[in-house]
Amino acid sequence: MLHIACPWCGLRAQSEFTYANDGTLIRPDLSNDSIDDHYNYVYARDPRRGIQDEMWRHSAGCGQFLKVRRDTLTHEIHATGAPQDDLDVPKDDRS
Amino acid sequence: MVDLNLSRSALDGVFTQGAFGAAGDPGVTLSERRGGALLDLSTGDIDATRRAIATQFGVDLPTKSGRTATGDACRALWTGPGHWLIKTAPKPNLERAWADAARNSAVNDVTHGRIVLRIKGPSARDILAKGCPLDLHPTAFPTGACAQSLIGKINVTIDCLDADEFDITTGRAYAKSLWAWMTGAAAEYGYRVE
Amino acid sequence: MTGQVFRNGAGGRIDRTVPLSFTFDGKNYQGFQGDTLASALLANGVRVVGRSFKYHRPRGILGAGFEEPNALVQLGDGARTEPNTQATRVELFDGLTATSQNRWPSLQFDISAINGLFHRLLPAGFYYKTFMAPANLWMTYEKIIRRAAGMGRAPTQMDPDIYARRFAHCNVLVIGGGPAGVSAALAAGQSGARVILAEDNPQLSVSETELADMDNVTVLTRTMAAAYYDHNTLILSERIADHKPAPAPFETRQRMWKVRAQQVVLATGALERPLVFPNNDRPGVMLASAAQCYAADFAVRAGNQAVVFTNNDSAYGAARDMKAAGIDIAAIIDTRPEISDSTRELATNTKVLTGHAIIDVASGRGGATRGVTLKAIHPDTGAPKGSPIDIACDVVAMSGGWNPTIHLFSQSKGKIKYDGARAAFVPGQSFQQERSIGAANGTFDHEACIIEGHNAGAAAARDVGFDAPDARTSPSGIPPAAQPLWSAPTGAKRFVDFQNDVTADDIGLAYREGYQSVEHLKRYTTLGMGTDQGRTSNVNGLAIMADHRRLDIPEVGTTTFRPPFSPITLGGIAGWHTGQNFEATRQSAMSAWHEAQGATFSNAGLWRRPEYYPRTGMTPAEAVHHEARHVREKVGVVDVSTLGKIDVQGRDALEFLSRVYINNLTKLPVGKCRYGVMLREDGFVFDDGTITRLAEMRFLVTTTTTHAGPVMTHLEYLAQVQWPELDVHLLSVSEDWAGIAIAGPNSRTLLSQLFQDVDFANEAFPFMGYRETNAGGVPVRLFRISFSGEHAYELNVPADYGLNFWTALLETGADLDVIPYGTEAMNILRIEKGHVTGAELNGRVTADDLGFAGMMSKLKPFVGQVLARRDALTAKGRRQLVGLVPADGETPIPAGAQILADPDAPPPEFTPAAILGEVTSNCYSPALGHPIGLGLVEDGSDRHGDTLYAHSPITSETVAITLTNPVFVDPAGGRLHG
Repeated sequence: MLHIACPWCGLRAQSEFTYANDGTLIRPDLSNDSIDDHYNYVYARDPRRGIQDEMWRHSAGCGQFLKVRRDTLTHEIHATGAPQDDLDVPKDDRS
Repeated sequence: MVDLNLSRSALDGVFTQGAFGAAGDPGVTLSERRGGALLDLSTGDIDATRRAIATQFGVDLPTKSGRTATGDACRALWTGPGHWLIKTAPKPNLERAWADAARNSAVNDVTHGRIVLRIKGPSARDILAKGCPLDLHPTAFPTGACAQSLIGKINVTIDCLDADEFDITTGRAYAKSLWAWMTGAAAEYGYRVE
Repeated sequence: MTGQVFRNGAGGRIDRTVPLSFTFDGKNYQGFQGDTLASALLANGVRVVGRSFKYHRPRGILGAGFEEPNALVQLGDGARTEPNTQATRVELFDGLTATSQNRWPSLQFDISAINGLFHRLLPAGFYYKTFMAPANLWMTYEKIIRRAAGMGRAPTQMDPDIYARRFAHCNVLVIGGGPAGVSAALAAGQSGARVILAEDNPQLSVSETELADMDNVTVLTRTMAAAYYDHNTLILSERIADHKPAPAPFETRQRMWKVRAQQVVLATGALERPLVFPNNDRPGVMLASAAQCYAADFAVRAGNQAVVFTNNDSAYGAARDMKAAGIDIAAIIDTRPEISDSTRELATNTKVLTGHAIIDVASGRGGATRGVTLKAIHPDTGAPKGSPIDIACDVVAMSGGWNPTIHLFSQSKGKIKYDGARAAFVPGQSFQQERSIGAANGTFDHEACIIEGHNAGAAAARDVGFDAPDARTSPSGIPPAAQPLWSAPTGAKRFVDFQNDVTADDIGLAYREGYQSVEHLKRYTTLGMGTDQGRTSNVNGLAIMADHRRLDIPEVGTTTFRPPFSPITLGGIAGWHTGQNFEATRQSAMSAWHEAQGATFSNAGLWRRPEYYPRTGMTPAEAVHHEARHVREKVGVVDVSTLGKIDVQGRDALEFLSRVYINNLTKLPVGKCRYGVMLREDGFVFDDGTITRLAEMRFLVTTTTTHAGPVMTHLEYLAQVQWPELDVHLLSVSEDWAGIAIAGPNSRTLLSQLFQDVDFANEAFPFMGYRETNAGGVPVRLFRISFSGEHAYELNVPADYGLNFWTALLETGADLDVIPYGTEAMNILRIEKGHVTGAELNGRVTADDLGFAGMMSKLKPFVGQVLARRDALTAKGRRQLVGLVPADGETPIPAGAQILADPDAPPPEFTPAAILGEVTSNCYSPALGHPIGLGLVEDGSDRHGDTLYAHSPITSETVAITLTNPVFVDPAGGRLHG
């Protein structure tokens, strides 16, 4: 029952979105063949009781992935942005 | 030798003309839009592509969600950043013509992968609101607006042509399910199929 | 026929010109348009309407609306029957039939009422205590208890009615059409904001023509706000046709609104509390506000002679209205030692006994009230003292004060707080964009409610940018009506929760046994559970527990209110999505043809795929074997439209695909296909398919039918999130192209006849080749690929041409004996060829397990490459793909069997270590003439020739099997390449 602000389409119903992944993950570089680094990318998670960054997809909308800063305790959504956006930077100041 | 050039609607066998549902003036008219062509255009170079398409096909590709633009013989719907659905007239080598114009872009002729249903009439917004989570109030979704969303669990693109007239585009394989939904949802208002 | 002897000749909101007939427990009665079932029953003098849940005590109507815990009835019969409906909210219509619940065999003589005589055997927590052991007897107990408990009957037939869902958006949503709610809607509406006002009753409490004239205001009556979820999403249940015998043709019965509101105003009112005293559940004991409502709104006298019992002022107004309707008020009993002069004025000419309380209710015929016994009470302790006074009456109108209806506020995650002056929980800090007003906010003064409503409606509109009317000033200094809590400290059967039969003694027992926290109290005694959700019992129950624990009520706390506020129908929740419409289905361009041939279908994701085509004189198995054999001998066509197809374009398309497939693709030329495998990031196999290079910077990749969606998401995630620097465009074109595989020795001849301008010679169009052609103006894509192991092609045409090409192939190939085949034969053919599918790609296999190690490029990095190197994924002892044949050459290999070394070992479910592997696929092979299978077996590649045992824990069969190369047919590939 959430309403999520797609950075492109605006506020839309949760049913248009699909949860995709942890929002903080950066895939190890292609040249990186460390099992540990890949292991951390695939398995290591730090789920929060509180505010965390998630990656969602506007799957029944524009199809874009988006970052969602969500409070897992209250379901409040504090910020959203494109995958490469820094959510700590206020929306209007992002390039 | 058999004639191979014989195309069939995805709604063959379920599409019957006439008046259905509640008695009285029909709330809407439902029809399938066949005969047009649909292109999916995707680019990483939005500015260059927009310039090229404007020159070649006379349409200013919209850059904001929910916007449409109409050109000489085509209509462009924003479907994502650098991504459009183009409605135009069918032509041989249509895909090639657009791909040649929009360099460094990906063009797919998706005419056969989608179906377009038209819903028109005073109850159109009420019927769509039975399955679509968008705000379809005329102030929020006016003539000329478009959006991708859901209708009864099916992904759709909705194109508002007039105050009470919409084209609904969905995947071809979903045609019968969406048609069942549309006719089911329209029954309480009464509907005509044309 | 006694008639409506308790109905007055004038007054009320009923329409006496429209008489209505109805039945209750098979007896005929009359009521009027505008009645509820409850008001009509009372008008006819029906006092006992049900039996209580646990003790089966006779119960009457307690309330007049949502608060009703007793008068739950079964409505209608047949497919439209509905249990557990509140008679107080059922609108009467002509022909309505209702039956009482919780009675067996009849309402007047109830065998289970004997429970009441042995009530010590059924204390609080009786489920847990009595039926703990032996556990397996619980099922037996449960059946008896359920029947005794009644609870109504669910319909057994399909629901004939239509239910709809409706999404709505508004600036301001107002819940409750009382004075405060109407005032709020009006103020918000005047600002121009989009307003929805929802009211459960058939009409608003005040008629408001200005509201009706506003285009921007939607008034929904007969609409109950059931739930308040996150982000100001509310669920409203609108009853469109429940007040009629049946919906009109095509009419929706109920509409479930899902409203997204920027601002919410809760004007949900308040519910009156009962008082807790011995035998307070006798039929005839009701809430004072209910007796007042029946008198004023329905012109129904709840009885002939009433005693009003109260701890607050509101019951004096009720007594006045009851008296006006012709009920003799024998006395007003007030627990307070003193009352104000203005209150006393309301009761002129009526006997008022302050500082007194009812200590028992006497019952007469059928258990109905025939009198009360009073005593004076101690002003400090509330304990009864002195000599008893008896008063004859058939109605006790009680008021224990008022509870603001804070259920939705609580659901919205608002913080509720205890207001000592009002002795009630009231809304505290809002969590969402919400305002509570009027009685729901503890404001009981009529004028103050209207002003509060106006101000809240205006403020809500202003908060979302509308120019709203100015705030009005509230009349200052209206003190909250004091309503000190009181409950009888002793005595038998002092009911707190009527619906769940929880008494004050049960709460005492819970306290003594240590279930003192409010959550434990609820679960131990069932206080506040069920459809009632503690609407009448919550505060009284907490007050009694607080008293035991010598704490204040807020220290005991309150439970969380859960949605729905009042029950909603499953039909309303499901809406359109029932039966055939439960999910959308996906159909290929040839689906209708398959159906017309009588094919059976199976589901693959949302797709429906034909399994086989029935043949006269053949069993289904024979028909499947015929199809498979025919492909190997001649030629067959199969619908493969459901395979996932992804168009990949861009300057970096090759680079992108190289990163996601294990294969080396750099040498893949335009016009060629390759079999490709992709891994998940964790190193296990994700999916397989083909990669075709359509042009220098354009590829078409295919996926399995069921993985098409997940693969697309995986690729988009990588392209958008992890490698945005790559110029690559992905588009699912699965539905754009109809796909037909043409397989068998005659396939080349067949296609040559249809596409005469294509050179099908081996040199011109070799295995894994790709050609495009144009057939009569239709673009055609031809792939020489094979799933069956035969000389075969796949053909893609724009989907609208699919059916025409399908029939053209069958017509053109008639001389070549072409037949269609389904997924069953396709499965046999691929098992014979050792090709893997979903059964083998189970998420736990590596590329090496399947024999694909050779495909893994060592020249480039790809997704899953690093984690596939982990010890556990490369160690010896991994289960590898093998072929299986029965050792005796004829016994079928059981599906899903475990593979064991020792046929006499204990059942493998108890000895997991003894399991060497599993059977993943099995079939009868028409080509070989005996059963075969595929399996995953520890070090299977090294065990070809070994005999092991396939044991099915389900059928208990054990079959000796010999392990073989998984490619049974044409291992050299001569058929493919020929």
